[in-house]
Amino acid sequence: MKHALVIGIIGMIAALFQGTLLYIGIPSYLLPQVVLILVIYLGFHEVSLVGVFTVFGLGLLMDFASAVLVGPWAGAYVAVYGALAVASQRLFVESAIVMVVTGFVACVCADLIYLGLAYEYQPSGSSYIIVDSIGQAFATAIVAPVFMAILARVLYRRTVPVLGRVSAATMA
Amino acid sequence: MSVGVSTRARVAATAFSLLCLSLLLTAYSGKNPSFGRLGVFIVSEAFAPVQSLVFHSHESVESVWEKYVWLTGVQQENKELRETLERIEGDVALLQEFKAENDRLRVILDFSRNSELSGVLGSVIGYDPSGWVKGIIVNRGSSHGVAAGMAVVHARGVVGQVVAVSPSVSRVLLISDHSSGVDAVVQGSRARGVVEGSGSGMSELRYINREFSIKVGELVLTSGMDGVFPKGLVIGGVTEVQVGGSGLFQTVEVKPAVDFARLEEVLILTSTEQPKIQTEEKEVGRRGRSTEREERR
Repeated sequence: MKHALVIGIIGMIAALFQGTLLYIGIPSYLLPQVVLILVIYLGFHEVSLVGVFTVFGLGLLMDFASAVLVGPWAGAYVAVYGALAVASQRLFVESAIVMVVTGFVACVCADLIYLGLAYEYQPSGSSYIIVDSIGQAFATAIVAPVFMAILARVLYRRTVPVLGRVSAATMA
Repeated sequence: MSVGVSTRARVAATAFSLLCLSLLLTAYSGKNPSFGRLGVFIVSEAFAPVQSLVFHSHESVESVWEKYVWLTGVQQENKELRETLERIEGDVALLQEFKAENDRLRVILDFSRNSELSGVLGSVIGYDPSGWVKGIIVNRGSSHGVAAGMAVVHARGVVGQVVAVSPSVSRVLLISDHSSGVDAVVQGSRARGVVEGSGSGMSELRYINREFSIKVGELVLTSGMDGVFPKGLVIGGVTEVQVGGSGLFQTVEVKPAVDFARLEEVLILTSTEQPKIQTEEKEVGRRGRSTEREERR
């Protein structure tokens, strides 16, 4: 429970951080989805019922922060988390390359699920959504290894090897 | 982390159930907007103090970085003198910032006074964190008399509408968001339509009959028919007119008069009564442009 609370606080900080990035002038199409990186991390390292409900809570937090619809982000996040929870046993999750690729794919998938869930209530045929989604996916992929290393430190107090190299200590 | 197959299956099943639950929540909140605002209270109140601190200190930090940190390594023998000078420069920068803020507030107050619009003055303290919904957070809430549905304007024109309120902050949906709609009229041709956000920063004036001849550069004003925005407020200027195809309507691209990226103060209208002066739309349109010129000066 305490662990879930810590993750929730980190999620709030991440959401606040995203808003701050927008404020200081980073365009929305280059905004890294920091909360999603937290979800990816939990999908890799916290495969449990506590994890899935925490992720659902993080999604609701994002929905409440937008104050428009309740549910789309929550749905997108649990779907990404569920997929990663199943796939993580087959992935070398300590590798930075896996983090980058997962960050990109997860961001695009989350955006598509969000759009699918919110389509009925937020119709838009503009191409800016695709530009935003791809741009955000790239930004998320680039910063994912850095944020995951920080999360590993904060949540589990362990180090993450860079670019897939595993130290003897980690292997052991 | 070693996790068994059964745990993964249980987690996947729970995730799927929660996905279905979010679909139901989305459908319910789409039909009942008030439901979506339930959690806003908690989130807004939790975020507001930190957001306020971060956003107000941003410019000060920027100023200190540019005017102090970069200069500390220059010429050791003049260090003390430079420090004094930099401190003074910091004070001057701060005073200039106060002056600039004062000027901006005066512009909005003048606008409020001249147009006889009554409202609450607020500062922008944040943006929607997802970046998908074009919204801002203003440091005025229900304790200041703000309620959901109120119109939000700036001296240059229409900003958006309050969608959720907590005691100390409110969330405003900008007119550039694709789920936003404002009943509007083109000043010259008197064509009426609905201005909808395209999400990319521009807006579109829709449902305009093909018979109307609309020119690029014409002002688009609020019609006052939606019961939210008073009549005659500037929404933006026409930048492109599309009369292609065989449809009944033409599509008009509108550039909002307000630069949302640089928005710092707004006026939340607490009354929807039509101000006297706005019976003459041309005058209001002129005022919008003259305010713009004043701000540039």
